[in-house]
Parts: sequence; structure tokens; C-alpha cells
Amino acid sequence: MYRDEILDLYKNPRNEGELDTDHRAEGENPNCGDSTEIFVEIEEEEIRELKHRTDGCAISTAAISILTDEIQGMKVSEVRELDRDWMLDKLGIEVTPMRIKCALLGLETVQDALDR
Amino acid sequence: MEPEKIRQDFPIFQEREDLVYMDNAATSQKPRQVIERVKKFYGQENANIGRGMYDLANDANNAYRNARRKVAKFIGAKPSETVFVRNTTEAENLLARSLEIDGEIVLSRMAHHSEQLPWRRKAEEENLETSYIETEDGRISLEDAKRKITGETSLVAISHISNVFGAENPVEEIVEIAHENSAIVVLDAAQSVPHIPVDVKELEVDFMCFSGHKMLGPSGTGVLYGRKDLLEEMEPYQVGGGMIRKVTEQLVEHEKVPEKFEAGTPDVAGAVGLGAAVDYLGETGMKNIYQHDRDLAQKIVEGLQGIRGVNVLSPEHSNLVSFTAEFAHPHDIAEVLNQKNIAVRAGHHCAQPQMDELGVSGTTRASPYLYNTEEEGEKLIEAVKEVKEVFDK
Repeated sequence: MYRDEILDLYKNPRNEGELDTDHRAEGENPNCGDSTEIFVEIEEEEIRELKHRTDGCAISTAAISILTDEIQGMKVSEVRELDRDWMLDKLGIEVTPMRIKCALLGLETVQDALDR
Repeated sequence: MEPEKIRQDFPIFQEREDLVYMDNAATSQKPRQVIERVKKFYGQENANIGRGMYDLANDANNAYRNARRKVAKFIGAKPSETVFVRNTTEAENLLARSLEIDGEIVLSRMAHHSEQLPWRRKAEEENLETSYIETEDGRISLEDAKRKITGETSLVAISHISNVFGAENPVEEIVEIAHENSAIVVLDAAQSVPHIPVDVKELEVDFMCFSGHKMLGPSGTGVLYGRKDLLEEMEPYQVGGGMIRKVTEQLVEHEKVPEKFEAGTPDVAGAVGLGAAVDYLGETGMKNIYQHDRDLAQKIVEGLQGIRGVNVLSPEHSNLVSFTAEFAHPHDIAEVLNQKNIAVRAGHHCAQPQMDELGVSGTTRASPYLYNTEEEGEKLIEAVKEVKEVFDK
């Protein structure tokens, strides 16, 4: 589970920071205490830029790093359609049932931010 | 005490030879003696209790009554003061529903949600004030207790040992302050009754709640101890069969305590199993268990403190070890430990306000019990060192 790539993304998260945008949402997994705030800049129905502030475990932090890289440039409508399988596939590791929530925290928060 | 020998009594350790089970604050494993006793009840004594006129029902009744007697004796109570419930949470909810109070409720910052939420709901519904005694180095602050418990206080609900820290709170002192202010004390003993000798008369608490499944008993078993005069004054929590003396169209007469609080068919087999668990603990000796759990926790603390970046939150003389690490999130630590077959808990331990106060999202918690060995403690320490190696790369 803790492949080098995941550990690297945990220790050096991609796209950390904040953006001045209305499309922002906070997400948390109260059970494990993971929390994130994601900022999305949308231009002409496309994801222009993403930033996040995350305080989480290796799985959630790595997933958010991958996610924020992957969806830059995607259409808003496409991002709304992304599901759990897509996220787990991008993460590329076997995630135990207890950790699926960690892996999905970022995606759910981004989709929430799009609706703001 | 010989944990290696004790382990032989627990079938799960034969089934899962490499398992290092250190999540005992959540629930304990069960010895053969308890499993066999439950099996014997279903195989040889099963009938509903209370009503049957036949021999089998009599056997079931006796088994249930004996179990209550054993559990009551184990905590220094009378059987009439010992109510069987499902778990600590249910005991707390029963109390919050049935106990009439009209003043302020004093809780503690470290409170487990189960000893906090029933009282918060009561306060909200009945417009009662609440306040929280602060935590000081993993224990309820006696200084703050003196400030918070006043003449306005009706009820003080605290835990004997916090499931976050594992240290014994100054219960006797708090009881004294509460009683000086004519307040009732409810003790959550879910983490103490399994680990240390507990006597309700010595502690002088008015109510005490604990779970059977954390002390080798079956899941679905718990106990509410209550001072008899208080239990007698209280309205029943649930009504129905088994808790009435007489019912007419005009009138309902309740059974005496404790039956008044046990509406419907109880978990008879569970209670019988809990009786066997209490026998097992009694034969092993609570003082021995107390010493063993603390010694092992202390060894784990010493080992962890030798790892740079680990911060142990449990104070001295705790019976469990709660810790955080700069190099990894609690869930990641637990996950790596799991890969080495070591079962520990990670998270907020049902005490979110306490986590907020500590400024952490959660901790990793290793909670040993009578069957855990020093060797297992060392395995745990080695595994945390490996977590550091993985994450510090």
C-alpha cells in the first residue's frame, strides 16, 4: 500500500495552497480526522486551476495530490461524473475497505466545490 | 501471572497464531470458559426466564440469577442494585432518560461520547446547564472539578479511566466534592472494571456503568449499578413484559429493582457468559491483571519514547498507550501495524472534544490485557520503528 510514489505525494503534496474563488469546499472524515479544503477555479466550464489545504493520512493526501493534477483542464461536467473506481484506479494501490473513505475524500470535496 | 499460559485459554490465539491483539479498550477476546458456558446454556439450559413453571425454565432462571449474583459481587454491589443492559452506552442512556434532576450537569472534557451525549441531550431537552471539567496531563483536573462542581450541580458524570489516555481519574476526591454539593455521581467504568479492582461501596459512586464485552464477556452485555434507593425512585426506561407486577386497564404496578429496568426477554445467555467471565477474572486476580496491564503499558511507553518523533499522550501509570508520531498519521501507523498482524486502534476514540483540545486529529492506541506478553509489546515497538523507516525514507 505504501509505495514510494504514495509516500512521496504524502510528504510533498502537489498543488497545495489557496485560490480566491467561490468554488471552494471543506471536506472531512470525522471518523479518522482527515480534513481538506479545496479551491477550484473554473473558466468556461473547464477546471482551470486547483489548490488544496489538507491535513490527512498518506492515502487521503496522496489521493488529493493525484486528483488535483489529473482533473486540471477537464470539463466540469466530466469531473461531476468521476466515481470511486476512477479514483482508486488513479491511486493505483490496493486500498483496504476501511481506507476507501480516505481515498475518496478529495473527489467528494471537489465535486462539492463545483456546486458552490 | 503468566500471559503465555492464559493465552492457551483463548481459542482465537490458536486460530490466529501470529495475531498481536492490542485493541482491548475496544473489546476483549473471550476465553474458552466463557464460550463454553454460553454454549452450555443454549445446549442444556435454554428457556425464557421469569414465567415458566417447568424444570428447564427454573434452570434458566437460576443461571441468570447466579450470573447477576457473581457480577454484583465482583463490583461490591448487591444483586438488587445490578441491572443487566446491553452495554455502557445503554446504561448511560437509561440513566439520562429515567433519572430526574433539576440542576446543572457537569461532564468532563475527556468524556467518551457515550458518557457525554445522553447527558447533553437531556440538558437540551430539559433546559439544564452543562459544564466540562478540563483535562490535566491525561487526567480529570481536580482543581477544575472544584471550580465546576458547585451548589448548582445536580449530577457529575465522569469516567474512571479514560479510553483515550488510560490513566485513573481522582474519582474518590471528585465523589467527595460532588456529595458535599448534594450532586449525584455517575461513573463510566467501561475501562476500569476490566482492568483494576473496583468496589462501588469504596468509591461511593451513586451509579456506575460498564460493558461485559470489554472484560472477557459476550458482546451485548453490560451493567448498570445504582444505589438501591435511587433506582427505586426512578421511572423505568422501557416498559413491557418482565418488568411488571400487575397490570389492569387502570393501573400498572412495576416490578421491584432490578427487574423494573429489564423489560422484555434479556440476553440470558450473554449474562450467563458474563458470569463465567467474572469467574475467570476473579480466579486470575484483578490485582494481578492491574499490575500486568500497567507494567506492559509502561514497557511499551519506554520503547516508544526511544523513537524520535513519537509523542506519548498517556500519563504515567496508565494501562494503555495513546501516542502520535510526527512522521505518520495514526491511520497509517495502524495500517502498517496491521500488515504485521498487530491490531491497534487509530482515530478519535469516540472523544472528539478531547481530540480538539489536544489539537490532534486522532491518536494511535495500544491497549494490552491479561493475555498480552512482553514479547508482543516488543513486536509493537519494533513495528513502530519500521513505520518510521518507511515514512522517513
